[in-house]
Amino acid sequence: MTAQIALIGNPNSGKTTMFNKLTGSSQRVGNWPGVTVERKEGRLKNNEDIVVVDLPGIYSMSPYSPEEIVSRDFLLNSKPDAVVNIVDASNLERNLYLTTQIIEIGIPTVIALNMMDVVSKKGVKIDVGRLSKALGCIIIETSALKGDGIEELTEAIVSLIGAEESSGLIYSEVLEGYISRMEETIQGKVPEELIRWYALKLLERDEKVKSDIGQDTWYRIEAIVSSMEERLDNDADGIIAEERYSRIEKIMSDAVDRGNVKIEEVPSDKIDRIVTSRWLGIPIFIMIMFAIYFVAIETVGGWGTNMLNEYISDTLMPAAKEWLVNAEVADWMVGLIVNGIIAGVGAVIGFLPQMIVLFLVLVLLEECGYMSRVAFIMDHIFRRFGLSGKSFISVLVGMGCGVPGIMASRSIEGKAERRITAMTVTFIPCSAKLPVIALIAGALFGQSAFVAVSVYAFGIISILTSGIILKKWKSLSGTPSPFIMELPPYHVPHALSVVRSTAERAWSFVRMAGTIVLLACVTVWFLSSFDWGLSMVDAGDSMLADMGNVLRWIFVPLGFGDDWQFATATLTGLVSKENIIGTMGVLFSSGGTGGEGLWDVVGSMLTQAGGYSFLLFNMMCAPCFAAIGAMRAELGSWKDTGKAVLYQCALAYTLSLVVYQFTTIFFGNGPEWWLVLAIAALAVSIYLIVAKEPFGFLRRGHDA
Amino acid sequence: MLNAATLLVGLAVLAAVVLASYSVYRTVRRGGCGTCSKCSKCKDCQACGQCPKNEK
Repeated sequence: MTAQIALIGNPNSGKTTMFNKLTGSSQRVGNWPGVTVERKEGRLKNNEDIVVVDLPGIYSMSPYSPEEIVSRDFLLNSKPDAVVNIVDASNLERNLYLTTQIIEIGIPTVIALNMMDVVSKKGVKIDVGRLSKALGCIIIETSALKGDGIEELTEAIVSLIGAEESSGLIYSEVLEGYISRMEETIQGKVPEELIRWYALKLLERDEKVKSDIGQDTWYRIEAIVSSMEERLDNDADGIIAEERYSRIEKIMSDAVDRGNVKIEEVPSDKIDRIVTSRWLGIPIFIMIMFAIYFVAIETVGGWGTNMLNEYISDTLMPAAKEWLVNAEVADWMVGLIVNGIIAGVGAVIGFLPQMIVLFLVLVLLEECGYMSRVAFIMDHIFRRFGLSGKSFISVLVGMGCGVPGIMASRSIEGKAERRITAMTVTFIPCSAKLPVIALIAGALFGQSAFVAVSVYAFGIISILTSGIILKKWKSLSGTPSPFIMELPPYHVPHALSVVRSTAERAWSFVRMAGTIVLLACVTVWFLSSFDWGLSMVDAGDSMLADMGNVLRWIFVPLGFGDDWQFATATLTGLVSKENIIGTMGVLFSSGGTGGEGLWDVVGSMLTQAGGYSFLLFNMMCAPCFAAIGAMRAELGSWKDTGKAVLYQCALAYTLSLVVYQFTTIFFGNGPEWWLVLAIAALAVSIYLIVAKEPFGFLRRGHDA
Repeated sequence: MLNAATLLVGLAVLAAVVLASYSVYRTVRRGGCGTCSKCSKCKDCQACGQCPKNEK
């Protein structure tokens, strides 16, 4: 028979690390809240009959955000056979606040007292026996990161199946009196085993629980709660919270010996005073970003990419061509293999060294704890624009891939802020867009790191500007959600974990090149080699050229519409952004004769302004189909998703148009007629930002 | 008329295209983002740890 175990705890208490240790999985672990927004399942490593469910982190059983609802609903409705409560021993008091509520549900519970190594280092002693007795459940000391106590925890989990239910804490006499009165009132209306939990939640004025109870008893429930508030002179939820904390304080004083530990500033705090300071936080972040791209794009990664590109175009392609010709393979097949597959997939794979270095540096920053600080720093800024640090968590996740970035918006409490985040998170370049940045930087800007940093800056500015504009849309107005997060202490990253994360991301990149890019390259080769009558022709007379020529006019004002190839690459980028490179690889390949490389061709076809405009448009416009699908899931309808995609494309077009047209005045051939359009677009954008009710005319029109 | 070498190379390309299509199809069917190395095997999205189809 299969048993189900729920893993629950505060955000950042090490649940996912514990889940990985217990099940042997390799779920992504992050040291910021919101990494787990949906429950995940795996089987216990030494006992396949036990399913372990990792739930999103929560601070209490009164949920405010969607992922907190996932955790609470699972415990109440799915009724797991046992609960493993992961408790961060270094923040025991706050973590026990959730524990007291979990044990009230009555499910057999084992507490994993995690991060015990950190506690020991601080010189704090926890009497586990006393703590276990006070809470009425088994406690195992663990360090999920180091793997300590995992075996004991596994044994405890197995022993817990079918064990007696845990019982909650006993509160003060006065509160217990109100609990009894509430229990009498709701008798028969809630499951008997959960009656104490429901009574406490109703005394806390938990609206979600109240809606589960028949309306006929609401007035009686309200009378009890009001009477309690009057007698104890406090808000209902304040009374319960105080009671819980006073019990926890008592337990702590009995079971925790702080010895002579003095509260002194640890190295992490000293670093944070500088890194998260109001004035230095942002400049340090910009400098770090610049350093990352200097290493990944301009120097170490750039050298690797140059070598690999040279090898592909000067050695691999000519060798493959020679071999195929010698084997008397038909010319068109040689074209498909060399100019289609090797040139297209090779163009993407050529960026692998830069990607590996970039992934490595980003993983190092995540693992050492710096990225959590970035979310904290950005909260100050995002808040001013109607968003919060929680939106930036989505942005951080979105730097890897837009799909989880959009999904991470689920942890945002406010509906409006959540929707705006889901609509705008893809403005930040994901890893699939990085080769495009590297291509433009390499082809037109001497691999300068400034290109990447400026694109990220434009991404963040676009998100913030969208925050201002979209909040003025009636259905998206609202105040930013509160943002609470713990800053984990800085630590030296584990080498194995860093190597594994980097290798996984690099493999994902290769895998994309070998699947979706390969398919796109074959399609692009076919469409660019045949005309509508299926006769083999030059690319300029092909079906793809016809399609590109229809589309390219749209991009003329943006500086990359003179050649149909760039319009086509933008179009194939909708399938996946790597395809932009793959498509160019196919269209610009010279047959592997060691001629011009992709960078040289792009460099000769685009001006710097046109290339940068092409880059900006492809970074900001509609994301890939997978991300559009994720947006549909978060926004709830295709109509809203359509509006979001339209907004993204409009913003991308405006930004590229303004940047290109204004840059051309100073660095190009002087102003073009399209400058008038750019000025008009800029004026409309400024109006949308400055005006109080820019969309009021729509409502008035509707009212009329 | 195709010669034997062209036919063999063509079959190899066809096999690669079929395999790639199947891999993309599986990823799309599961609702994953496609950037994950394991998505099609165990729903364990490596890009994020949050495969959309994880919820059973």
